Amino acid sequence: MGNGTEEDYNFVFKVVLIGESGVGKTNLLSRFTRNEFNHDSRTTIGVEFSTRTVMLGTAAVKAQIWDTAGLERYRAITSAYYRGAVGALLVFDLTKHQTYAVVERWLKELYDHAEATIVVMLVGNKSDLSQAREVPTDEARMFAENNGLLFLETSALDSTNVELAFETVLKEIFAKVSKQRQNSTRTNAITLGSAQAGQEPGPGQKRACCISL
Amino acid sequence: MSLAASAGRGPGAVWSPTHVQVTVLQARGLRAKGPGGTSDAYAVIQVGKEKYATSVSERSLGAPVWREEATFELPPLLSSGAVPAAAATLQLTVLHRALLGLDKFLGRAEVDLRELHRDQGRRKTQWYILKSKPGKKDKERGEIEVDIQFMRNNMTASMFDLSVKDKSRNPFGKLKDKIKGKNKDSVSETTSAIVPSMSPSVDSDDESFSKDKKKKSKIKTLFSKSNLQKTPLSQSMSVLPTSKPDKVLLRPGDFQSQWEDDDNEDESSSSASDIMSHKKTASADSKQLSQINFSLPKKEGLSFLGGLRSKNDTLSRSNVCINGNHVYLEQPEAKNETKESSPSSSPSPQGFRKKHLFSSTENLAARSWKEPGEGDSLSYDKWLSDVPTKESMKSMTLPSYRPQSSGDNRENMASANLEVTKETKDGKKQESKKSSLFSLVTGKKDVAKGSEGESPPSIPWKEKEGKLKEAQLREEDLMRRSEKDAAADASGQGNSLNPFEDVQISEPEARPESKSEPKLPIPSARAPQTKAVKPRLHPVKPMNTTATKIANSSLGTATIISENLINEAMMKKYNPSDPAFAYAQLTHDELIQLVLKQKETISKKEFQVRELEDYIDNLLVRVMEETPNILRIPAQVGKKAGKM
Repeated sequence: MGNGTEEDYNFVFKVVLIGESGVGKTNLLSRFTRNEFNHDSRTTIGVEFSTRTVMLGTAAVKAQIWDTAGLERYRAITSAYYRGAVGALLVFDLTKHQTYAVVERWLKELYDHAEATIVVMLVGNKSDLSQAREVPTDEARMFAENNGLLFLETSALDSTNVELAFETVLKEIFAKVSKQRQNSTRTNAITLGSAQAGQEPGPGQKRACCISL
Repeated sequence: MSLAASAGRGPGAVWSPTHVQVTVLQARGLRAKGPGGTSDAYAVIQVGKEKYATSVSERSLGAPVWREEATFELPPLLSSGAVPAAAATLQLTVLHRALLGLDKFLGRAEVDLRELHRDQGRRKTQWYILKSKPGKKDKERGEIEVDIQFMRNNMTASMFDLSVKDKSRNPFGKLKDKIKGKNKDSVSETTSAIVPSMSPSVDSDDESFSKDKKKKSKIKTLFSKSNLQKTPLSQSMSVLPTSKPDKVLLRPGDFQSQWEDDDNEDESSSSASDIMSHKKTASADSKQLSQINFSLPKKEGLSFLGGLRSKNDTLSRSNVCINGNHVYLEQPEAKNETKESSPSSSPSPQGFRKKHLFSSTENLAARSWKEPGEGDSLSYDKWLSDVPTKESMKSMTLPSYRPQSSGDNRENMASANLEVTKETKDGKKQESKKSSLFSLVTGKKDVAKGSEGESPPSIPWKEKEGKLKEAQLREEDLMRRSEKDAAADASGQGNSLNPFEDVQISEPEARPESKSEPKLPIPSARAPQTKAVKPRLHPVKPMNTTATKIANSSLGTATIISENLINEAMMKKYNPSDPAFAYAQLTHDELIQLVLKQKETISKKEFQVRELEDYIDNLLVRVMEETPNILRIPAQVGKKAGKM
């Protein structure tokens, strides 16, 4: 996709990364937004986000991707973390079945705190470690289909499908937004102004989005 | 001999032991609780609330051999009958170490120590029939052979010396001391309080020791250990395997006890003070050389000197001196060495000498004693003569011989000591520890030495030394070795030179030397002992190599002994440089406590972490809601997504 400056965008989409600790969320983020990969990255502490502007057709979409620690326990930030998110990448480590087994729990938490219209992609990361695979692609894909999720296997290490994963999510979001915009064209601006960081998925005129950020 | 005399002198014909050393030799006819008619037997030794366990004799076919000893402090007035039976009853329980579940009872025996002491005197080795638990049917449970030795460690007799001796001799006692951390300090205090005439010098030393507190106490223990090790080790090593009760008696512990008793008795009589000093020295020589170095040595040296001086002219004196030298030898020699070393610049020896000198000087009583002490010296001579026959005695005497060898030898010794000290320092950590301990002690001693009155004793020593030199040359060599070690320790002390000079000048050189010498030999012995750092290990190890091996194999033993054994094994496994080395010295219980403490610490920290996380989360929430942009990862490559 095309790159754009921060100032030059029509939409801001908040996307959250979720999944067990150690599945590679942070590296997926750094690979997508900075094309970096850290082999000895430590467990993420706190919350951070990174952005990248992508051109979807004629629209400049700024992806604001949030990353946090994949902790099991409930944290005070959970609610704020999901608030305003229009997309989510639910990441598991396809070399560790345990991280896949808890996907459902993550889904529940996601739907508890995020909008029902949120676009979710199930991401099996670390596809470069195929010899250590513990989660069959078909199984994960089947699960994704059954739950209305997008699905891709990625490798933040060798960049496989990373770009595609995020762009697919952003496109899906953009499609939803466009559809909603068509349905209710003029009432949307209201929601946009509410949150700075978060972007309301549905409504939003191309230029109106700028208000939030 | 003097011993008998001392015993007779005491506050009554019946002497009152302060400690009892129980050596569990073996058992036979035990019931089989383990596979194949075997049992993993170990014995629990208990007096009052204090108890120790032997190592586990694995796969013993009903006849385990332990040869492990434990020393218990006896309640005062044991012989008076005022002691409750529970506190004066030795309980021996033989158990089978079960891999799972509770250890199985194999039998038990009780020994009324009061009765035993009354009937059997100082030492008794015999088989005791193992019985069932109270209220249960008696079965044939075999019997256990135990050596029970009553000892008296008195400073006032000589609480100090005794304490030291006890510690040194009794590994268990050492262990206990370490665990409790009371014995050393308490002992020193008690000693000071007890001995009035001696007290000035002793007190000063003691006080300094007490001031040093733990370190000093450790040092003391080390010294005591060294002493113990030297005599005890030799004794235990040689004695235990064979039936060496007699030797044991002759050895430091017996001597000490006897001497101590004598001393006490002497003290009871005012004139006894001299005798006391002599006795003390004797005792110190045998077992407490190291201990003596601190407190008793001084006294002993003084007394010896006095006795020697008075008798110097007569051959009998020389003989006595020699004998005494054997016993006292270390002390006198040490003093000589220290004197020599002081000139050469061996600080530590000097410090020791100073200390001795001080004690001697302080022990003015000792000088006065010297005069009366002649009679005592005779007794000492007797002692010495008896002692020399034994190897242990020889070792003891050797140090004295060195001093006797005279200034040259002394000088040599001093130089050797210095060298030794260096070597020791460079060499083993343990030694360094010891040396540091010594230095602490010596430093105090040095101060004490600054006081007066060492000259008189020194003269007699010189005379004696001259006589002794020829005969003692061999011994001196031995002593030198030990002294070297001691010197190393002394060198660690460092600044004792001045004190030595003072001592030498004062004339008491001989005395100081004698004191220093004993110290020196002691340190050498100590150095090895100190290696183990923990007294427990040392004592236990000497008892039986097999026990240690067994202990190693049987990690499950919760008893102190087993722990000690394990520790020993651990010690062997780990180098001092290894971080695990520190833990290798800990007992099983200590390790458990350590683990529990660390678990507690971890849980606390986890709680703190959780609280911090919550705090940060709350902060993050506010940030995310108000100024999320500050959470943005600084875009380095950022905007230009290098696409793949």
